[in-house]
Amino acid sequence: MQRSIRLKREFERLNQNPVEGISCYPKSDNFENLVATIIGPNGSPYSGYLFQLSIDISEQYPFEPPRITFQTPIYHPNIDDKGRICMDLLNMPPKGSWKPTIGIKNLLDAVQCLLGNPNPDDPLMADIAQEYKFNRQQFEKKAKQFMEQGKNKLS
Amino acid sequence: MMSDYKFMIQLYPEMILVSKKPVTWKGFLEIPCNSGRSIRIRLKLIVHNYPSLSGAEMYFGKEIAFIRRKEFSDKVKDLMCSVTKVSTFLKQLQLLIGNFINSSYIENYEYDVLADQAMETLMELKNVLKIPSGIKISSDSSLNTIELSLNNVTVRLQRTSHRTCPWTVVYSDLPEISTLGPFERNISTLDIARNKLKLQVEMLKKVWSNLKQIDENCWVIDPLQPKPCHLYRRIYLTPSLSMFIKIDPLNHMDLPEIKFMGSDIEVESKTDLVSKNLNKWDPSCDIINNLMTLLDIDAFPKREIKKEEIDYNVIVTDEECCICFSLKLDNETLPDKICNNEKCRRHFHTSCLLQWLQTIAGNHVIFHQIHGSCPNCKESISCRID
Repeated sequence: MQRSIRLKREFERLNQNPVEGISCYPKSDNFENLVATIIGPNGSPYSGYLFQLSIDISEQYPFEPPRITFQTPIYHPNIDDKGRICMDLLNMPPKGSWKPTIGIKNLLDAVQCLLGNPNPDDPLMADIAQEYKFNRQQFEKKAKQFMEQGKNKLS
Repeated sequence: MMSDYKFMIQLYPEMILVSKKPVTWKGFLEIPCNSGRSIRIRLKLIVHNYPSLSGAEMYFGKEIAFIRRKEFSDKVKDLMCSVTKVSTFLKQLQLLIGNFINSSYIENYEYDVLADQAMETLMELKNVLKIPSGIKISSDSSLNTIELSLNNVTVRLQRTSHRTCPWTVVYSDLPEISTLGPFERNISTLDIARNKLKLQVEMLKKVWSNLKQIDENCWVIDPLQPKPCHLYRRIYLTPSLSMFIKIDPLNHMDLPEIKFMGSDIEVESKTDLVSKNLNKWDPSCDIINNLMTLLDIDAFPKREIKKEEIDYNVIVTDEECCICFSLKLDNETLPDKICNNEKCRRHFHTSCLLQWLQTIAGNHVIFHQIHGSCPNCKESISCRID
């Protein structure tokens, strides 16, 4: 009950006050699955590329965090090859820091921020994290190459 | 006395007579060095017993701090006793300092490089400014950062110590175009940077004018404040559908990259429609008409004007429940629980808060109260269990 009212409100707000570089819509009429798009933030190797994410909203939302995964492959210390994201906000306390006052908009904001500022100290991809920490140039080059390849595959 | 002043002005125009009682000169003295270039040092000269130089005071800038040993001051004192005219004294002083610098073991590398770079920049600026180009050029006081701007498009360049790529871009309004590579590539002089900026602005002019048409005719959701570096727009179509348009900077009249974002059904139907209409794209027609033909519409939806001003920067307006984001629950109850923290003061429905506190493992239940922390500010909060 709270879930559908709240999601409806969240979408109203998102439509009235969009966030730069972020879009989010329900996949179908129910609010179980959402599809979001994030534009890679300026100043990062992902700048200008589009990333599609899928968001699963559980029955318990907002008392449980949504599950967000990247559909677009990405080369990033905190995102694995299946698109899973390692981010504090996406886990329940005490391990994570999800709280029901956070909305989908805030989460996507945080994901966009993570693209611009990887967190190599809490990595999901250890090798990439090492590279990010000690060989930033190579990391940026590889991340960009990875995106270019993906782009070619799509078109 | 007159003739000495005259000589000073002729020979040392950078030394300025700042006071006649006592007679004081202040300014710069150029020291020729072995390497062919020269160093400018700051100097203040107070001649108490003018025209005699005995007992004169001297203050040097820190540029030559590395040669100021006892040997140096002794030599300067000797010099003061032996000459009678200030201009002659300065001439001898120049030679003296020059000798000390040349024989000095300390290689004042950093100073040389800095002076060198500033000089080079000055020379480059001189070359660039010779030919008028309509580009505004400005710099910071140290000549380290140069700003080039044309029609509100700005590029800021900073000097590096690399010989092969002396300029690096620290700020740019230009969009990154992958086929052209980064702006800083192959910029060996400011002149090249200026021509590159001019060329790219010229090239992007038509792209920007297309984007401007979109801005004027459509409800642009994203970017919130379009800048020259944004070559994309996301426009509103329906509450559950928006269209992403990215213009190819090299072929601005061609079909742009188009993506729909929204619910699956709408995305599918619009994608079908657009792929059916793709052949109707007419490169000689303007972008708005082309987009309308693609979408089979006569006008784009306009932005709704909001009546009430609400601060959307806060997660929720404070009267609503912070968990369900609404004012009334189904049974018409209003938020009835408020966080005790004065800075937080978030509103909750008791039932919403209770459900959250019960979800978190480790919250204590004492009598009929469950204790936990406020989901917004983490201060302790408790809630009645009925």
